[in-house]
Amino acid sequence: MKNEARQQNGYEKLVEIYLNHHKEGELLLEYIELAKKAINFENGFISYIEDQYYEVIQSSTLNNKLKSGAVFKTCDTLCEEVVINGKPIYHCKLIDTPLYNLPGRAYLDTESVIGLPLVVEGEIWGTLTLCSTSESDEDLYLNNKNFLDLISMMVAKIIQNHKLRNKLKASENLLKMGEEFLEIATYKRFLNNDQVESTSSFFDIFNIPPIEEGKMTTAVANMAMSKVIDADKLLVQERYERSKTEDVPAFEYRIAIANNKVKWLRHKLKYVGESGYVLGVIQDISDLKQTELKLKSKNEELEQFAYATAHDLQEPLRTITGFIDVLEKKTSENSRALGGEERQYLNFIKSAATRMKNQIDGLLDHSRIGRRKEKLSININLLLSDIVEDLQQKIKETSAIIDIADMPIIKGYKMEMRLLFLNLLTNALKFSRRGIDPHIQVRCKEEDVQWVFSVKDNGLGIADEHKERIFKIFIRLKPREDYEGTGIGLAQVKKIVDLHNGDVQVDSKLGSGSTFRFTIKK
Amino acid sequence: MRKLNCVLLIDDYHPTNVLHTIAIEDTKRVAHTLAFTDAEKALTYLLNIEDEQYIKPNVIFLDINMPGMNGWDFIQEYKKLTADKKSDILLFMLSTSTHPDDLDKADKEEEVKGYIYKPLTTETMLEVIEKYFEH
Repeated sequence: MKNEARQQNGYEKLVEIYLNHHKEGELLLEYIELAKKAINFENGFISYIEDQYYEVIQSSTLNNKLKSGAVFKTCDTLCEEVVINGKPIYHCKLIDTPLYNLPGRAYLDTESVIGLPLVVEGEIWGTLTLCSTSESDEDLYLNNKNFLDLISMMVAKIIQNHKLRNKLKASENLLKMGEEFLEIATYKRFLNNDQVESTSSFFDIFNIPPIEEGKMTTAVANMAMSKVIDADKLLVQERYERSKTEDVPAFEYRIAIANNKVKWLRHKLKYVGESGYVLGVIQDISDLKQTELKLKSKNEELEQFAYATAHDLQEPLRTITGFIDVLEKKTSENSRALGGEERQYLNFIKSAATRMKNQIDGLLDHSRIGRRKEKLSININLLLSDIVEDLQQKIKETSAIIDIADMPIIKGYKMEMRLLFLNLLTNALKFSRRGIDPHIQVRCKEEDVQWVFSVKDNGLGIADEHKERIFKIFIRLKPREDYEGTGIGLAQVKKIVDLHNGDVQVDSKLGSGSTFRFTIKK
Repeated sequence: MRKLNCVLLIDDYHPTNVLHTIAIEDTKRVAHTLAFTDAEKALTYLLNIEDEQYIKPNVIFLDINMPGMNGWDFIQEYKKLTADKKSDILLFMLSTSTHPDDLDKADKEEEVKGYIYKPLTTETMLEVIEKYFEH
């Protein structure tokens, strides 16, 4: 065969091999064979270079002497120069060169060698080495040099793909491990046809038979949807519709699994409209929910206990106050009047009993918070004018000014909201500075998901170190003689705000007033 | 002004009975106030009308939460009394409980005339007399 014809044949073969072999290992082997044949060499192999080492990844040698996986020190091989310079080498007669003494040469009885660098993005990733056990014909090499360069370029591409794929696989594995660990699944849903691509944890979470990764059909998406329990179906449908046009913040729902059990899921959706899909993350939060439920029932138990205790304390207390009244009445009616000291003691007993009664009443109110489970529409304007009416006497006594801006109508627990404002306003009136008439401002600001209310006064203010403590039950900052109170008011405020999924905090400086800010979820 | 002959108190806590007795006596419109700390004993008293100590009460004030026979148990037995033993007696629950269940229950019991919160005061007693016995 003529040289040119042979080369033409070689190029066609190069393409044909590429099209017919999808496995990288086979492809590399075919290319080694092709290169060997072009120049009549017996041995050929491909290696990776990693630091000072040289690892054979595919080979075709006489008697299979050099197997893939073999590792050498790069300096022991014939290709060190290729690695260093990034240029091909050719020695038709090795015995005339200093390379002849290298261990790598003796290994395959090499007398003649061609070393080709495998360059990926300007970096040398490895070599394609061709060896002959006899001296070779330089013309044959020169005639085929371009062809060999082309093969080495193809090989470089293949190993680059291979490495990239390995990298991708590694990060996919990491993602998978992460998903399994966190009990989450991620998926991509295309907007045009509802097709879903997901990782395998998706199937685990929904307990449905897995379909080959990345090939989930609409049928599987429907199957997942059908697992949602009836009570939560509407919610999920609504969120699904929303995700077609916007991001959907995390929402929670239940799916039915075997044995009449349910699984709690938290789901979040990100709208990526410009790419035509929605990204979803699903997390199994059943454990969390269970803990939450346990905690809730424990809490209820505790509250029930507080309620029952407070309730039971009422009766003996009533007996005490009842007898104090009897004693007072009897001793004033007849001649057995009490002496000054005895009267004082009786007054002490009476005031202690009154305090205890207030404390118990407060505690009972506190444990009643949130007992009525239904939220109503509340006109805060009306609520506040009612409260101001009730506080009229106190307002007159203190010459207070109460300035209330226009208030919204909100959804909430009515009795509790009243108690909340009553407590804040009572406090604002009570903790005023001597000689300064109370000036109280009530404001409200609307935000996306919540209302932000504020009650601002010009009173005593609160030192920084107390700002957390004041919301705890039975904590008082002021002596009882100066400021009457049970230490329950702000604890109630906190509890009521919590009940409305809000937050409460205080901005204050000692001596220059306080602003209580709280949020109520819409 | 009408004067009642007898009021019967049933409460397991003795001091409460004493306090209520004082409140009743202070109206000066009740001749006898009897008190039991045990609902069973009160029931036995009501059964033995032949007893020479027996005075028929005009009003019974009954506590709810008591050990042994409680207020509701007492009412079940009281229902079984023959007409001659309970006619003209007005029975009131006297309790600290503000529990809606208790209020509902009292409302549904035909035998229960009303629900009064403790402590019973002289004023309340006078109201009862005026409302139920003045006409």
